Amino acid sequence: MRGDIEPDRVTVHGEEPWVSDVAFIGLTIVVFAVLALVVRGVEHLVGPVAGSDRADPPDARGAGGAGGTGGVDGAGTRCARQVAR
Amino acid sequence: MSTAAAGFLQGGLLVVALAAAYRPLGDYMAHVFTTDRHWRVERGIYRLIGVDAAAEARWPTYLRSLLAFSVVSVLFLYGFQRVQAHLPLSLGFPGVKPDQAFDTAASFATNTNWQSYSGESTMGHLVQMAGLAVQNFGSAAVGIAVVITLIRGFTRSRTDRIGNFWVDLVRGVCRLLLPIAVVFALVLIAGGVVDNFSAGHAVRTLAGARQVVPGGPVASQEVIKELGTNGGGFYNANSAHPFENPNPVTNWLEIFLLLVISFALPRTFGRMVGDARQGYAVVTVMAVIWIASVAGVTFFESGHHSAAALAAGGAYEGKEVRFGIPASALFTASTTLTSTGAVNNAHDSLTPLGGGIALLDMMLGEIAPGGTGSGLYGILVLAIVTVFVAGLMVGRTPEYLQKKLQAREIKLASLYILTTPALVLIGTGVAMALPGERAAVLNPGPHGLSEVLYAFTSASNNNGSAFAGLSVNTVWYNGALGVVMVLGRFMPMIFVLALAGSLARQRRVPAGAGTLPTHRPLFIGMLLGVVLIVVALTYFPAQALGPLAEGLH
Repeated sequence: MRGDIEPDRVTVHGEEPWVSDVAFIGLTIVVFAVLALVVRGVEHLVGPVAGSDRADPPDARGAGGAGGTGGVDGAGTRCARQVAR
Repeated sequence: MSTAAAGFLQGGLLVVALAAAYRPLGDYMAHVFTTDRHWRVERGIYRLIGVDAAAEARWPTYLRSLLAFSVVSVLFLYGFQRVQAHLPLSLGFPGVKPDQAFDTAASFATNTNWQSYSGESTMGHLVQMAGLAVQNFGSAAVGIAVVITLIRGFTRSRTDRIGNFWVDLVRGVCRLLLPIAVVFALVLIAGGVVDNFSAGHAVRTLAGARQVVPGGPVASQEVIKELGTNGGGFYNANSAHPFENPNPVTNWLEIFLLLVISFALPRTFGRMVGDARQGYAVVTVMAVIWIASVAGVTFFESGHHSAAALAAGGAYEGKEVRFGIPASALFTASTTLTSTGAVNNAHDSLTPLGGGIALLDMMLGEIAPGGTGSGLYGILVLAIVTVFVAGLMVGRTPEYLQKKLQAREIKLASLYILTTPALVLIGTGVAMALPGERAAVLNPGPHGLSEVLYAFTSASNNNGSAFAGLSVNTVWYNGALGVVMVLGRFMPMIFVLALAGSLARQRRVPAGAGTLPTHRPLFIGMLLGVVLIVVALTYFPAQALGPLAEGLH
């Protein structure tokens, strides 16, 4: 129906060697590693992101200001606001 | 009442119900993702996972959190299936074989729910509940988190903070999906959907044979299967099975569930950007495509183009008599346009052109209304392209929602649009080129190509439905489709989140005399045109060799 099922061929679930598990776990990790590399590539494409990934110091958050307002989300989390330049 | 009248009544009631849910659900979702207040249970979860709910992240960090959550989901579900034999409620089933476990894990973690197995003869109740159903909630919430982040990109300015992935994920599950799922699971149970821990009941058939009728926690999985546009059924027959979808009322309800969140998200978008008309414009485009698809599938399935169809009054092969053609066509169009992929009829038994429409629905990128979250962010990327095209025509820098669309944004939108067609066409080409894999095609001629094309289109667009007649339970197909599902889900998300980050850093540009209004019929028409031209023509050669060749023969 959705995936292909051949009702007259029951899949035999024997004890698979652990090599298959290592292979598919490895495949999963490789695919996500590729995605992480794509993220790195897109970061270069988009341009440098200001600052580091550490959290902003407390006085840069919730200081109010015009940045980020507009629509409902503008009144959202306090960290979205920055001091207006 | 005639079949046609019943079909119109069902469709009409569905439109009324979706219209009624549009504002309250859309406004509620906007509130969920913009309020500062955390529920007590959410605070407990944040403490448990060590997350500072007040901290927001830049887009690479947000994305890495999303990918980390997803890779752990895939690995956990893989392991869960492999050790199934040692778990309670396994019903005596052995561990799922490695390639199938990988394919299933990738499938459920990516909201695809492609099933190369028969649920009632492969998965025990614990894996179904604590593995597959849990991923149904998680993957749906991930999609919603991404679209909310994109909307924040439009609403924020001069900031590089776009949100907290863990807060968005937890709120999506706790405040949206779970409450609705609990209520409608009870409704489905009242409608006759089973929900128990039974391994099966032995019954004597009318012919005197003995048959075991398997039971299980179906209703609880069924509701999130539809609500989260997942599609993975408890039973192999999916929503054609009488325990999953007993009657026309539950059928109508399941169609409603698989459409409701995706059709309400444009309202959320409009509320968050401060202009409800933007939401109306987007939902109008979605509705036009959806109605056209429903009409097309119904028309072709109702046709009398063979002796059997003439005798039966329509193409009834593969259809459930309790639903008939209109309800089956409505379900088919809705499931292929929403990335759900659940089926209440055999898609391989659709007429060539009816099946071609189902295939085209997925090829459009599933944006009408699309999956939970993925549909809206898909159509917003196309809206960006539309504004860009309009800007080229008049020689102005394109602006959308007071944000300039410059080279960076257009590159990201283009990469988004190119990703899934590349996966579909390359995957199909490789499968048809390899002699061993070509042998997996059981139907000769154009329909055989359609089956392979459908498989890769479904996997890349995270739909999960399939044409039968293709032996996909092989190491190659399980591996290849698993990889395609993961890339088809997360690569577009990378570009969408990068777009959100890029937009959030911009200043807002006041609308001027030359700004293209994006809530008027002109823009709606242009967006429809862009959808059809950019997306559909990408696949025209493949459609011509498959469904069109078969249907026009």
